[in-house]
Amino acid sequence: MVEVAVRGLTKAFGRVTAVRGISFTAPAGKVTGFLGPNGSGKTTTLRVVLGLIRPDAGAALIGGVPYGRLARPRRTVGALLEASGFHPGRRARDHLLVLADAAGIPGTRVDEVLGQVGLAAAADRRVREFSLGMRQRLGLAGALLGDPQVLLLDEPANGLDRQPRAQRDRPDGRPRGDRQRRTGALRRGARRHRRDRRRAGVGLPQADRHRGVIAMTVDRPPYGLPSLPILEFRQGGLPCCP
Amino acid sequence: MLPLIRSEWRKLSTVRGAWLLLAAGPLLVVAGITGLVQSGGNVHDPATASKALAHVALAALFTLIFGIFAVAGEYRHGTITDTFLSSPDRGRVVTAKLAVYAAVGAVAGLISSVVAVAVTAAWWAAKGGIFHLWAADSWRTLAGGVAVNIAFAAIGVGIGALVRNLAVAIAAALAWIALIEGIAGQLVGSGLARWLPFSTSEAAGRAGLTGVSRLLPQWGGGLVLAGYAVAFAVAAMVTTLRRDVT
Repeated sequence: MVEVAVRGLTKAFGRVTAVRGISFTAPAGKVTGFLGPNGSGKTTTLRVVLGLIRPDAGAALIGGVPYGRLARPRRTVGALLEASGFHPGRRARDHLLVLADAAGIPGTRVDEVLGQVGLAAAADRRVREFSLGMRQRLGLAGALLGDPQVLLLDEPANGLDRQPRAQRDRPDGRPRGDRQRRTGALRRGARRHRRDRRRAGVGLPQADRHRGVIAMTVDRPPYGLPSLPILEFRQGGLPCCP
Repeated sequence: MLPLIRSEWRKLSTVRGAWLLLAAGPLLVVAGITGLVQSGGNVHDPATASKALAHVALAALFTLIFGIFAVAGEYRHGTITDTFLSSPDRGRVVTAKLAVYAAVGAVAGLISSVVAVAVTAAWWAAKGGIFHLWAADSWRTLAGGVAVNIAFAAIGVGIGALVRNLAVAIAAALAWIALIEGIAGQLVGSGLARWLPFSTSEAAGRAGLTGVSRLLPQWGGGLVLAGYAVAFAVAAMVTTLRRDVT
């Protein structure tokens, strides 16, 4: 089993320190959630782990090896990242075939993952016709393509369901007042719990429990996930350890 | 390397835009040669035939933009993240792109050449001139034109990797060709202006230009242009390796 270890990670963009001295281990056989407000470094940390961002200090290792040294990266780590995208004119199956080609994964696997995320019927449609939720599913299909041991998911529930009304702005564009937000949240509490459990479940099908590590960034604790170690990120600061 | 080349080829073959862009090259050749004849080009002068075939090198404008799309297009749509996740060795990604785009640039140049020969032969026949396809200058012009198409595709890949913003990269490349190189050439004087990229492509794309002292000889232009292509490729490699992908 493979674990993800981050040691003394620091990264600044210009004068903004996105991540300062973070260390943690996402243990094998567990789901690890990254919890924290916007700008607290969750996404930056994931991108460093994936070798997309070079840290100023520290290191991130997957099973003891940096991402760039993995022999077969897509078969070891599957990632769903917010900023990753699709060519709007490319069909869903072709998008996955591009990834499969580069990773040396047989093309038959593409139809398997399309079925797994519920996009089999849309496989030959161009991505420009896809809704946000369908794009999210296609991204997840890409993450599952190599049947990886580690899944890294950045805001996996995005677009998969409606945001709770209490968290959205009012129809006229002004933000909701705090009191309104609170009472709205209270009233919808029970429904929201059910919905969050369901939404988190889309990112974590039962079949995926065998994977070594699933790390995901979430904007609130995902209810209904068993034994979830939470790494809490604070704005530009140290995470408090689980 | 082979999986990455296959992946790059599939990226190209599964979208339509790239092919429409490349189809514009031969159209430019047809229009350019027709314009040359219609505006009173002398079909009895062998130099006019060479001038007509030199349009193949001008069509390289489109392989340049085509090459820019290779990298800047990936940043535009955010697919570069998945590309680097598949191959964390970014040097291999850039190498695969250079190989595939140079090859497609060569094919585009060959198609433009065939079109140029056909259109030139047709016009010369219509106007009663004698077109010597087998003349050395014809072949050297066409070979130079294909080479310019290849070099511009590679330079485009380099520009796209350096600039990354698709609109800015295309605007900068076109502005250089249409405007900036001309002004820069006047500033540095014609002795140095011959060494600027677009001037070297003009030299490389046309044989038998004796007496046109503002350009390098064809072989010299070709060598300097190849040097630019290598320089852009190396710059693309170095910057791509170091930059964060956010």
